[in-house]
Amino acid sequence: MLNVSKSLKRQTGASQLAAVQYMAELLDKIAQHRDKEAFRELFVQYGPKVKGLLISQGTDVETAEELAQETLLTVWKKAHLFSSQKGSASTWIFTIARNLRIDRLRSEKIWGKMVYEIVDQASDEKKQDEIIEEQQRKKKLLDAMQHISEDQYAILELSYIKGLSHSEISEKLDLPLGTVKSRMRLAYGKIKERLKDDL
Amino acid sequence: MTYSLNHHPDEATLMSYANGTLKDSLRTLVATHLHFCEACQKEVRLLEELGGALLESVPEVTLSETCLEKALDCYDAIQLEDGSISHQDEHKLSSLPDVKDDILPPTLSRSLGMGVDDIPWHFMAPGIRCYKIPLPSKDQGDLRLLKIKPGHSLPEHGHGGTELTLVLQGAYKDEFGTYTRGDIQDVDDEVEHQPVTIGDEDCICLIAFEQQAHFKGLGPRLLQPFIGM
Repeated sequence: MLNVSKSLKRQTGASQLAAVQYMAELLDKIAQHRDKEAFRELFVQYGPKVKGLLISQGTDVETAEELAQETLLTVWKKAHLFSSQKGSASTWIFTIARNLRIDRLRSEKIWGKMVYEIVDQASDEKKQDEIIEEQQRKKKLLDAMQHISEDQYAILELSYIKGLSHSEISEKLDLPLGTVKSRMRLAYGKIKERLKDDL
Repeated sequence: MTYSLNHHPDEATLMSYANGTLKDSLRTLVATHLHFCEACQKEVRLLEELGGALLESVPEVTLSETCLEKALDCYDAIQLEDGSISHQDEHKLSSLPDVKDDILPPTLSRSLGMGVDDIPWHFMAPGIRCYKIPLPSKDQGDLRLLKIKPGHSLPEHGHGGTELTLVLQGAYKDEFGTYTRGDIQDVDDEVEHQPVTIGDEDCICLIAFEQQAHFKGLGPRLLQPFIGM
Protein backbone atom coordinates (compact mmCIF):
# COMPACT_ATOMS: atom_id res chain seq x y z
CA MET A 1 0.00 0.00 0.00
CA LEU A 2 2.88 2.32 0.72
CA ASN A 3 4.07 1.97 -2.85
CA VAL A 4 0.65 2.88 -4.12
CA SER A 5 0.56 5.90 -1.84
CA LYS A 6 3.93 7.01 -3.07
CA SER A 7 2.87 6.86 -6.68
CA LEU A 8 -0.30 8.75 -5.89
CA LYS A 9 1.66 11.45 -4.16
CA ARG A 10 3.86 11.91 -7.17
CA GLN A 11 0.83 12.71 -9.25
CA THR A 12 0.13 15.84 -7.26
CA GLY A 13 2.58 18.00 -9.10
CA ALA A 14 2.84 21.49 -10.43
CA SER A 15 0.55 20.82 -13.39
CA GLN A 16 -2.29 20.04 -11.05
CA LEU A 17 -1.65 23.20 -9.09
CA ALA A 18 -2.06 25.20 -12.26
CA ALA A 19 -5.27 23.33 -13.09
CA VAL A 20 -7.12 24.55 -9.99
CA GLN A 21 -7.92 27.93 -11.41
CA TYR A 22 -8.73 26.50 -14.83
CA MET A 23 -11.32 24.09 -13.40
CA ALA A 24 -12.97 26.93 -11.52
CA GLU A 25 -13.17 28.82 -14.80
CA LEU A 26 -14.87 25.86 -16.47
CA LEU A 27 -17.49 25.90 -13.73
CA ASP A 28 -18.07 29.57 -14.31
CA LYS A 29 -18.56 28.97 -18.03
CA ILE A 30 -21.09 26.25 -17.31
CA ALA A 31 -22.92 28.46 -14.83
CA GLN A 32 -22.97 31.65 -16.82
CA HIS A 33 -23.20 30.44 -20.41
CA ARG A 34 -24.41 26.86 -20.12
CA ASP A 35 -21.24 26.09 -22.03
CA LYS A 36 -21.47 22.52 -23.31
CA GLU A 37 -17.80 22.27 -24.21
CA ALA A 38 -16.83 23.34 -20.72
CA PHE A 39 -19.14 20.64 -19.35
CA ARG A 40 -17.57 18.06 -21.66
CA GLU A 41 -14.11 19.06 -20.48
CA LEU A 42 -15.06 18.91 -16.82
CA PHE A 43 -16.71 15.53 -17.42
CA VAL A 44 -13.62 14.09 -19.08
CA GLN A 45 -11.41 15.47 -16.32
CA TYR A 46 -13.42 14.36 -13.29
CA GLY A 47 -15.72 11.52 -14.46
CA PRO A 48 -12.92 8.90 -14.42
CA LYS A 49 -11.65 10.20 -11.05
CA VAL A 50 -15.09 9.96 -9.46
CA LYS A 51 -15.58 6.49 -10.93
CA GLY A 52 -12.14 5.49 -9.61
CA LEU A 53 -12.95 6.86 -6.17
CA LEU A 54 -16.26 5.03 -5.95
CA ILE A 55 -14.75 1.73 -7.08
CA SER A 56 -11.98 2.15 -4.49
CA GLN A 57 -14.69 2.54 -1.90
CA GLY A 58 -16.32 -0.74 -2.87
CA THR A 59 -19.00 0.41 -5.30
CA ASP A 60 -19.49 -1.99 -8.21
CA VAL A 61 -18.29 -0.84 -11.64
CA GLU A 62 -21.73 -0.29 -13.13
CA THR A 63 -23.04 1.72 -10.19
CA ALA A 64 -19.79 3.67 -9.99
CA GLU A 65 -20.20 4.77 -13.59
CA GLU A 66 -23.84 5.68 -13.04
CA LEU A 67 -22.95 7.72 -9.97
CA ALA A 68 -20.02 9.41 -11.72
CA GLN A 69 -22.40 10.48 -14.46
CA GLU A 70 -24.97 11.65 -11.93
CA THR A 71 -22.29 13.57 -10.04
CA LEU A 72 -21.25 15.54 -13.10
CA LEU A 73 -24.85 16.15 -14.14
CA THR A 74 -25.51 17.52 -10.66
CA VAL A 75 -22.58 19.86 -11.18
CA TRP A 76 -24.21 21.06 -14.38
CA LYS A 77 -27.67 21.38 -12.86
CA LYS A 78 -26.44 23.27 -9.84
CA ALA A 79 -23.66 25.26 -11.44
CA HIS A 80 -25.77 28.41 -11.39
CA LEU A 81 -26.16 28.03 -7.65
CA PHE A 82 -22.62 27.13 -6.76
CA SER A 83 -19.97 27.74 -9.31
CA SER A 84 -19.45 31.40 -8.69
CA GLN A 85 -19.34 30.71 -4.99
CA LYS A 86 -17.11 27.66 -4.89
CA GLY A 87 -13.40 28.09 -5.06
CA SER A 88 -12.47 24.54 -5.88
CA ALA A 89 -14.19 22.34 -8.45
CA SER A 90 -12.74 19.15 -7.02
CA THR A 91 -13.97 19.88 -3.47
CA TRP A 92 -17.46 20.45 -4.74
CA ILE A 93 -17.39 17.34 -6.94
CA PHE A 94 -16.01 15.30 -4.04
CA THR A 95 -18.91 16.34 -1.77
CA ILE A 96 -21.54 15.67 -4.46
CA ALA A 97 -20.11 12.20 -5.11
CA ARG A 98 -19.99 11.52 -1.37
CA ASN A 99 -23.64 12.47 -0.93
CA LEU A 100 -24.82 10.48 -3.95
CA ARG A 101 -22.92 7.41 -2.76
CA ILE A 102 -24.50 7.59 0.67
CA ASP A 103 -27.93 8.15 -0.89
CA ARG A 104 -27.50 5.11 -3.08
CA LEU A 105 -26.59 2.98 -0.09
CA ARG A 106 -29.73 3.93 1.82
CA SER A 107 -33.23 2.85 1.11
CA GLU A 108 -34.45 5.91 2.98
CA LYS A 109 -32.58 8.64 1.22
CA ILE A 110 -33.44 11.27 3.71
CA TRP A 111 -30.72 10.11 6.11
CA GLY A 112 -28.04 10.67 3.54
CA LYS A 113 -29.20 14.09 2.46
CA MET A 114 -30.17 15.49 5.77
CA VAL A 115 -26.93 15.51 7.57
CA TYR A 116 -24.86 17.46 5.11
CA GLU A 117 -27.40 20.22 4.72
CA ILE A 118 -25.87 22.54 7.27
CA VAL A 119 -22.37 22.63 5.88
CA ASP A 120 -23.72 22.90 2.34
CA GLN A 121 -25.81 25.89 3.34
CA ALA A 122 -22.85 27.50 4.99
CA SER A 123 -20.85 26.97 1.82
CA ASP A 124 -23.48 28.79 -0.22
CA GLU A 125 -22.80 31.96 1.64
CA LYS A 126 -19.15 32.25 0.77
CA LYS A 127 -17.84 35.67 -0.07
CA GLN A 128 -15.55 36.40 -3.01
CA ASP A 129 -12.46 36.81 -0.84
CA GLU A 130 -13.18 33.45 0.77
CA ILE A 131 -13.30 31.85 -2.67
CA ILE A 132 -9.89 33.18 -3.61
CA GLU A 133 -8.55 32.05 -0.25
CA GLU A 134 -9.96 28.59 -0.88
CA GLN A 135 -8.33 28.36 -4.29
CA GLN A 136 -5.01 29.35 -2.81
CA ARG A 137 -5.52 26.93 0.03
CA LYS A 138 -6.20 24.13 -2.44
CA LYS A 139 -2.79 24.70 -3.96
CA LYS A 140 -1.21 24.60 -0.52
CA LEU A 141 -3.18 21.47 0.34
CA LEU A 142 -1.79 19.69 -2.69
CA ASP A 143 1.64 20.85 -1.71
CA ALA A 144 1.17 19.81 1.93
CA MET A 145 0.24 16.29 0.90
CA GLN A 146 3.62 15.89 -0.71
CA HIS A 147 5.28 16.68 2.60
CA ILE A 148 3.50 14.32 4.93
CA SER A 149 4.98 10.92 5.71
CA GLU A 150 3.97 7.76 3.86
CA ASP A 151 2.21 6.48 6.99
CA GLN A 152 0.23 9.67 7.31
CA TYR A 153 -0.70 9.64 3.65
CA ALA A 154 -1.66 5.97 3.93
CA ILE A 155 -4.14 6.66 6.72
CA LEU A 156 -5.74 9.48 4.73
CA GLU A 157 -5.93 7.22 1.73
CA LEU A 158 -7.67 4.47 3.71
CA SER A 159 -10.19 6.94 5.07
CA TYR A 160 -10.88 9.12 2.04
CA ILE A 161 -10.10 6.94 -0.95
CA LYS A 162 -10.84 3.45 0.35
CA GLY A 163 -13.79 4.75 2.35
CA LEU A 164 -13.01 2.76 5.50
CA SER A 165 -14.37 3.63 8.93
CA HIS A 166 -12.10 4.00 11.97
CA SER A 167 -12.93 0.46 13.07
CA GLU A 168 -12.31 -0.99 9.62
CA ILE A 169 -8.92 0.75 9.46
CA SER A 170 -8.15 -0.51 12.93
CA GLU A 171 -8.92 -4.05 11.81
CA LYS A 172 -7.03 -3.75 8.54
CA LEU A 173 -3.87 -2.36 10.11
CA ASP A 174 -4.27 -4.41 13.28
CA LEU A 175 -3.99 -1.30 15.41
CA PRO A 176 -6.09 -0.17 18.40
CA LEU A 177 -8.90 2.22 17.49
CA GLY A 178 -7.25 4.99 19.54
CA THR A 179 -4.03 4.65 17.54
CA VAL A 180 -5.92 4.91 14.25
CA LYS A 181 -7.63 8.09 15.39
CA SER A 182 -4.41 9.56 16.65
CA ARG A 183 -2.71 8.88 13.30
CA MET A 184 -5.57 10.60 11.52
CA ARG A 185 -5.26 13.61 13.82
CA LEU A 186 -1.52 13.68 13.29
CA ALA A 187 -1.83 13.60 9.49
CA TYR A 188 -4.45 16.33 9.55
CA GLY A 189 -2.36 18.33 12.02
CA LYS A 190 0.66 18.21 9.71
CA ILE A 191 -1.43 19.44 6.82
CA LYS A 192 -2.97 22.23 8.89
CA GLU A 193 0.48 23.25 10.05
CA ARG A 194 1.39 24.04 6.45
CA LEU A 195 -1.81 25.98 6.01
CA LYS A 196 -1.59 27.87 9.26
CA ASP A 197 -1.23 31.28 7.66
CA ASP A 198 -4.52 30.69 5.82
CA LEU A 199 -6.59 29.48 8.75
CA MET B 1 -27.78 29.88 16.00
CA THR B 2 -24.29 28.92 17.04
CA TYR B 3 -23.00 28.66 20.58
CA SER B 4 -19.70 29.15 22.27
CA LEU B 5 -18.97 25.53 23.01
CA ASN B 6 -16.32 23.84 25.10
CA HIS B 7 -16.46 20.31 23.78
CA HIS B 8 -16.14 19.27 20.15
CA PRO B 9 -15.78 16.02 18.21
CA ASP B 10 -12.35 14.50 17.75
CA GLU B 11 -10.75 15.70 14.50
CA ALA B 12 -10.64 12.08 13.36
CA THR B 13 -14.43 11.95 13.77
CA LEU B 14 -14.89 15.16 11.80
CA MET B 15 -12.62 13.77 9.10
CA SER B 16 -14.79 10.69 8.73
CA TYR B 17 -17.88 12.87 8.72
CA ALA B 18 -16.40 14.95 5.89
CA ASN B 19 -15.48 11.94 3.78
CA GLY B 20 -18.73 10.09 4.35
CA THR B 21 -17.38 7.09 6.26
CA LEU B 22 -19.27 7.60 9.53
CA LYS B 23 -22.23 5.35 10.12
CA ASP B 24 -25.64 7.01 10.02
CA SER B 25 -25.91 7.05 13.81
CA LEU B 26 -22.65 8.95 14.33
CA ARG B 27 -23.12 11.09 11.22
CA THR B 28 -26.51 12.31 12.36
CA LEU B 29 -25.15 13.25 15.73
CA VAL B 30 -22.17 15.13 14.30
CA ALA B 31 -24.51 16.99 11.92
CA THR B 32 -26.63 17.99 14.89
CA HIS B 33 -23.54 19.32 16.69
CA LEU B 34 -22.65 21.33 13.56
CA HIS B 35 -25.98 23.06 13.87
CA PHE B 36 -24.60 24.61 17.06
CA CYS B 37 -20.95 24.96 16.17
CA GLU B 38 -19.50 27.33 13.62
CA ALA B 39 -15.93 26.30 14.46
CA CYS B 40 -16.63 22.67 13.53
CA GLN B 41 -18.49 23.75 10.37
CA LYS B 42 -15.30 25.51 9.32
CA GLU B 43 -13.24 22.46 10.18
CA VAL B 44 -15.50 20.22 8.09
CA ARG B 45 -15.19 22.55 5.11
CA LEU B 46 -11.40 22.29 5.31
CA LEU B 47 -11.63 18.50 5.60
CA GLU B 48 -13.86 18.48 2.51
CA GLU B 49 -11.23 20.55 0.72
CA LEU B 50 -8.75 17.85 1.68
CA GLY B 51 -11.13 15.37 0.02
CA GLY B 52 -11.17 17.52 -3.09
CA ALA B 53 -7.38 17.60 -3.15
CA LEU B 54 -7.18 13.81 -2.67
CA LEU B 55 -9.67 13.31 -5.48
CA GLU B 56 -7.02 14.73 -7.80
CA SER B 57 -4.76 11.80 -6.90
CA VAL B 58 -7.29 8.99 -7.27
CA PRO B 59 -6.37 6.39 -9.90
CA GLU B 60 -8.76 7.05 -12.74
CA VAL B 61 -11.04 4.39 -14.14
CA THR B 62 -12.05 4.90 -17.76
CA LEU B 63 -15.70 5.59 -18.36
CA SER B 64 -17.56 3.59 -20.98
CA GLU B 65 -17.70 5.16 -24.43
CA THR B 66 -21.38 5.93 -24.12
CA CYS B 67 -21.19 7.54 -20.69
CA LEU B 68 -20.33 11.04 -21.82
CA GLU B 69 -22.81 10.85 -24.70
CA LYS B 70 -25.58 9.79 -22.33
CA ALA B 71 -24.69 12.64 -20.03
CA LEU B 72 -24.76 15.08 -22.91
CA ASP B 73 -28.17 13.72 -23.95
CA CYS B 74 -29.42 14.38 -20.42
CA TYR B 75 -27.77 17.77 -20.62
CA ASP B 76 -29.71 18.59 -23.79
CA ALA B 77 -32.96 17.14 -22.48
CA ILE B 78 -32.84 19.15 -19.32
CA GLN B 79 -31.90 22.26 -21.20
CA LEU B 80 -34.81 21.78 -23.63
CA GLU B 81 -37.39 21.61 -20.87
CA ASP B 82 -37.64 25.33 -20.51
CA GLY B 83 -34.14 26.60 -20.84
CA SER B 84 -33.74 26.60 -17.11
CA ILE B 85 -32.69 24.08 -14.56
CA SER B 86 -34.73 21.28 -13.12
CA HIS B 87 -34.85 21.63 -9.40
CA GLN B 88 -36.89 18.48 -8.99
CA ASP B 89 -34.29 16.54 -7.19
CA GLU B 90 -32.79 19.36 -5.24
CA HIS B 91 -33.49 20.12 -1.65
CA LYS B 92 -35.70 17.13 -1.09
CA LEU B 93 -35.71 18.08 2.53
CA SER B 94 -37.76 21.11 1.71
CA SER B 95 -40.70 18.83 1.04
CA LEU B 96 -40.57 17.55 4.59
CA PRO B 97 -42.81 19.35 7.01
CA ASP B 98 -40.90 21.88 9.02
CA VAL B 99 -41.10 20.92 12.67
CA LYS B 100 -40.26 23.83 14.90
CA ASP B 101 -38.82 22.79 18.18
CA ASP B 102 -36.91 24.64 20.85
CA ILE B 103 -34.86 21.63 21.88
CA LEU B 104 -34.33 19.53 18.76
CA PRO B 105 -32.46 21.24 15.89
CA PRO B 106 -34.00 20.86 12.40
CA THR B 107 -31.52 18.08 11.56
CA LEU B 108 -33.42 15.95 14.04
CA SER B 109 -36.95 17.29 14.28
CA ARG B 110 -37.55 17.29 10.53
CA SER B 111 -36.34 13.75 10.03
CA LEU B 112 -38.15 12.48 13.11
CA GLY B 113 -41.25 14.40 12.06
CA MET B 114 -41.86 15.52 15.62
CA GLY B 115 -40.74 17.81 18.36
CA VAL B 116 -39.46 16.84 21.76
CA ASP B 117 -42.94 16.93 23.34
CA ASP B 118 -44.18 14.21 20.99
CA ILE B 119 -41.35 11.75 21.49
CA PRO B 120 -42.69 8.38 22.67
CA TRP B 121 -40.24 7.93 25.53
CA HIS B 122 -39.79 4.49 27.03
CA PHE B 123 -38.98 3.82 30.65
CA MET B 124 -35.40 2.65 30.98
CA ALA B 125 -34.59 3.02 34.66
CA PRO B 126 -35.80 5.24 37.48
CA GLY B 127 -35.25 8.82 36.29
CA ILE B 128 -34.21 7.76 32.79
CA ARG B 129 -36.28 7.58 29.63
CA CYS B 130 -35.12 6.57 26.21
CA TYR B 131 -36.23 6.72 22.58
CA LYS B 132 -34.37 4.62 20.05
CA ILE B 133 -34.36 6.46 16.73
CA PRO B 134 -35.05 4.16 13.78
CA LEU B 135 -32.22 4.12 11.24
CA PRO B 136 -32.37 2.85 7.64
CA SER B 137 -30.54 -0.35 8.53
CA LYS B 138 -29.21 -2.17 11.57
CA ASP B 139 -25.60 -1.95 10.47
CA GLN B 140 -25.69 1.82 10.77
CA GLY B 141 -25.17 1.81 14.52
CA ASP B 142 -27.44 2.85 17.34
CA LEU B 143 -28.95 6.30 17.85
CA ARG B 144 -30.95 7.24 20.93
CA LEU B 145 -32.42 10.17 22.71
CA LEU B 146 -32.19 10.01 26.48
CA LYS B 147 -34.00 12.11 29.03
CA ILE B 148 -32.48 11.97 32.48
CA LYS B 149 -33.62 13.65 35.64
CA PRO B 150 -31.09 15.80 37.52
CA GLY B 151 -28.68 13.94 39.77
CA HIS B 152 -28.87 10.64 37.92
CA SER B 153 -26.23 8.62 36.22
CA LEU B 154 -26.79 6.08 33.52
CA PRO B 155 -27.18 2.32 33.44
CA GLU B 156 -24.27 0.16 32.50
CA HIS B 157 -24.09 -0.86 28.90
CA GLY B 158 -21.73 -2.63 26.56
CA HIS B 159 -20.67 -1.35 23.19
CA GLY B 160 -17.85 -1.34 20.73
CA GLY B 161 -16.15 1.37 18.80
CA THR B 162 -16.82 5.06 18.90
CA GLU B 163 -19.53 6.58 21.02
CA LEU B 164 -20.73 10.17 20.81
CA THR B 165 -22.96 12.10 23.19
CA LEU B 166 -24.52 15.47 22.42
CA VAL B 167 -26.37 17.56 25.01
CA LEU B 168 -29.60 19.11 23.76
CA GLN B 169 -31.00 20.33 27.07
CA GLY B 170 -29.68 20.56 30.61
CA ALA B 171 -26.18 19.48 31.56
CA TYR B 172 -24.01 16.71 32.91
CA LYS B 173 -20.53 16.44 34.25
CA ASP B 174 -17.87 13.79 34.56
CA GLU B 175 -14.14 13.50 35.14
CA PHE B 176 -13.48 15.39 31.91
CA GLY B 177 -15.67 18.43 32.42
CA THR B 178 -19.16 19.86 32.26
CA TYR B 179 -21.28 19.44 29.14
CA THR B 180 -24.13 21.78 28.19
CA ARG B 181 -26.36 22.35 25.14
CA GLY B 182 -24.42 21.78 21.92
CA ASP B 183 -21.39 20.18 23.60
CA ILE B 184 -20.29 16.82 22.34
CA GLN B 185 -18.36 14.05 24.05
CA ASP B 186 -16.39 11.79 21.76
CA VAL B 187 -14.94 8.64 23.28
CA ASP B 188 -14.01 5.15 22.28
CA ASP B 189 -14.45 2.04 24.36
CA GLU B 190 -11.09 2.44 26.07
CA VAL B 191 -12.39 5.41 28.08
CA GLU B 192 -14.12 5.03 31.42
CA HIS B 193 -15.94 7.80 33.20
CA GLN B 194 -18.98 8.44 35.31
CA PRO B 195 -21.25 11.20 34.08
CA VAL B 196 -23.99 12.58 36.31
CA THR B 197 -26.70 15.03 35.31
CA ILE B 198 -26.56 18.41 37.01
CA GLY B 199 -28.78 21.49 37.26
CA ASP B 200 -32.52 21.82 37.74
CA GLU B 201 -33.92 20.55 34.48
CA ASP B 202 -33.99 17.17 32.78
CA CYS B 203 -30.95 16.51 30.66
CA ILE B 204 -31.84 15.50 27.10
CA CYS B 205 -29.02 13.93 25.13
CA LEU B 206 -28.56 12.39 21.74
CA ILE B 207 -26.29 9.38 21.93
CA ALA B 208 -24.80 7.53 19.00
CA PHE B 209 -22.92 4.26 18.95
CA GLU B 210 -20.96 2.82 16.11
CA GLN B 211 -22.46 -0.56 16.93
CA GLN B 212 -25.69 -1.66 18.53
CA ALA B 213 -25.66 -0.89 22.25
CA HIS B 214 -26.50 -3.64 24.69
CA PHE B 215 -27.76 -2.62 28.07
CA LYS B 216 -26.37 -4.98 30.65
CA GLY B 217 -28.46 -3.94 33.56
CA LEU B 218 -30.04 -1.02 35.24
CA GLY B 219 -27.61 -0.61 38.09
CA PRO B 220 -26.22 2.80 38.94
CA ARG B 221 -22.76 2.19 37.55
CA LEU B 222 -21.85 4.27 34.58
CA LEU B 223 -19.15 3.73 32.07
CA GLN B 224 -18.72 5.85 28.98
CA PRO B 225 -19.66 9.41 28.28
CA PHE B 226 -22.86 10.11 29.39
CA ILE B 227 -23.49 6.78 29.08
CA GLY B 228 -20.91 4.46 28.09
CA MET B 229 -23.46 2.06 27.17
